[in-house]
Amino acid sequence: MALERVDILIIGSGFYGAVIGEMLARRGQRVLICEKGEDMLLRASWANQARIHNGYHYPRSVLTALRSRINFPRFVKDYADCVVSDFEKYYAVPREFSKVTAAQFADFMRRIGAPIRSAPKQIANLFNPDRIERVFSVTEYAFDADVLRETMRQRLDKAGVEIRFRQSINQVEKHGEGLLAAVQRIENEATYEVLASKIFNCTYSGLNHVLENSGCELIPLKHELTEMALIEPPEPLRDKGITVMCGPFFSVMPFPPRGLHTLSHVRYTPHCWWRDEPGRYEHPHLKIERAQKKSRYEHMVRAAAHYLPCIRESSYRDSIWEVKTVLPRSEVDDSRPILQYSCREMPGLTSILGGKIDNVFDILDEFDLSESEHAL
Amino acid sequence: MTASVKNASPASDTFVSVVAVIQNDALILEEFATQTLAVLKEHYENYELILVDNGSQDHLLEKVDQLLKQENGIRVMELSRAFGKDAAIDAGLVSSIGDFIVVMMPETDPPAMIPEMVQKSREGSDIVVGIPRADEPPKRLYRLGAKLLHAYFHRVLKIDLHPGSSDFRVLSRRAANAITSIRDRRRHLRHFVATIGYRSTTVDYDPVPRKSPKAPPALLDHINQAIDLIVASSSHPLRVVSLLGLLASGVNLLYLVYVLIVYAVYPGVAEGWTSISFVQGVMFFLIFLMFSVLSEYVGRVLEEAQQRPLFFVRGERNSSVLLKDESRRNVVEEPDGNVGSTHE
Repeated sequence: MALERVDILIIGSGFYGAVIGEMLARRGQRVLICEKGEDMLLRASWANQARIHNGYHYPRSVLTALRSRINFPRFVKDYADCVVSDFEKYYAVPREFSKVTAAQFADFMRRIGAPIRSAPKQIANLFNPDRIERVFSVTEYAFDADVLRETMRQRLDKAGVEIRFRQSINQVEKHGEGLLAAVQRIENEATYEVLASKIFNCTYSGLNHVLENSGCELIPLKHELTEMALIEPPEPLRDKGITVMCGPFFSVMPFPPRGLHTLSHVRYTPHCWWRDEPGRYEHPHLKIERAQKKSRYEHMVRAAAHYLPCIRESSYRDSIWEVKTVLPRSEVDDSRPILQYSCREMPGLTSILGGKIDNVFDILDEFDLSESEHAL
Repeated sequence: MTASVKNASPASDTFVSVVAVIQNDALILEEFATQTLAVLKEHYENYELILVDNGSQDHLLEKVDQLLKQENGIRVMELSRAFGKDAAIDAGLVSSIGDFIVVMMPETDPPAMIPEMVQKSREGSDIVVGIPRADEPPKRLYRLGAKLLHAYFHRVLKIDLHPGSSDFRVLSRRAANAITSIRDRRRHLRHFVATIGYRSTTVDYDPVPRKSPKAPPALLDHINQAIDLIVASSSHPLRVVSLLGLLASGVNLLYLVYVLIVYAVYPGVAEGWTSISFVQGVMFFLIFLMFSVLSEYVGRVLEEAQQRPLFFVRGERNSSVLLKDESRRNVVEEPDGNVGSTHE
């Protein structure tokens, strides 16, 4: 069988993989995306609080916050179909245990240009005044991952990108000027090979899987098994999203794909964590399949009720379990940069880790920049 | 494995928090934590063990990190330095999320008693106080002092301090919220528990000494603690001061009268005696009077500064009558008339 050749091979059809694929295809490249799951945008792109960031969530990392704030209008414009903005969003700062004061929070937002006002009295009354210092009204939207999936599917189709599902790429090796990828079909484990000039590894928590099997140095990733509770909120919260910042607190946001709200608590959402270690690497997806998944909803709702008493009247519906992956530096300053890592042993294999959906433009702009540099 | 009763009984839904203050307890930490978690796991579906590290200087945190990798449900609050037992308990209480909160000291309190005490709380006592059975009766002087203190509290201040109680307590969420709503800077749990009202019961238990017993506190420590407790509980001593002041003023007033009478009646009064005595009498009269007045206002200032909740509510009940007036029919005789003709 003749060797299949493409210009760009993308591993993983989450949002980042899809957007990068579309951009490169529009530039005339032949793009192939291989996805091991049943469909696009099923894992990390779907299993999150569906927040379109506007900078409020990172009051201790100027760069992450500023980029979020700058990318917000761009995302809202480019993906208008999936934007859900028919709810009010509030951020509340507690008196104790918070890493920022209300004044610092407001100052920071003004500095990065994120709209912020004091919330009206009837909203402030929803909170426990003994524990909450101030409540702010902000502009933050949600996105519907199911709609985003269809949007990306149409865009990729229009751009001429081919996606193959139920096919995983486990290993890559150098082959002349390009890279040879071993592709495995999930149902019968049959393999075939694809030759690509460039490969983009957009597998989020599975980033080190290909690197480990291809003799590349592993990225020091930290993984967490996270639980997000899906709840039917009580009446006062139905048209609202509320986040308490900045410390061991919580966030309750509308979750459009299910018509419910998600409840996530900084202390109870991560059930356990581990790091990828060379020599002892295991794919995080396999690891979590074995993990005991006992819901901590009861913990989350009681802890949240200290600050927002009415949340106690929520009804628990389900929990979404997924791996969340961060870089070690995020521990220190809560930043969330996009990782663009080129394997030294295998130039042409670039691993991309994007923690926030709406920041994807930063990596696209980065590509633009490097393209124009090469052109010169 | 024994049949799990917990799935059948309603106790399984109860969410129990345990707050334990650790101070230089690295040696006993593992034993205490594993025993407590075993009891919690067996009886409750949801629980948390909050360890408040009150500025420990020993290898506590290494032991803790090890423990966190082995056991689920532990949360550690590391205070920046030793803040005192009361402040440490308060830190744990304020961040606890359970429906029932157990306060324990790892050095002496038996986790095995937790289910019994929590059950008592579920049955209606918002506060359950543990009374340790002592091996040897305390020294005579201490017993006498304790008797006096409790008599003062019980008879004069009308506050029940649960003599002989330790820090081992169970609080319902309602009681814990009442305590955290009190803004006093000194967090005497013993006092708060008494002052918030609510129903309380006591449970006798045998302490489990995990550490070699510390030297018992000196007499001066007991006296200091007693004074702290009295001042926290009531402004009664201020009132006593005010009354004494008034009494002293009154006595001085009488003395002034006496001085004048002597001056008027007695022939050989020494040169200057009258004026000195008179001035002295007036001064002391005024001083004690002013003292009394200030004392009263200081008491008020304290009350206003404390901003204590004026009352705590245990519950509410409402009327539940099915139909009030069954004989009243829904008929009017005038178009604008009142409803309810009751005659044929």
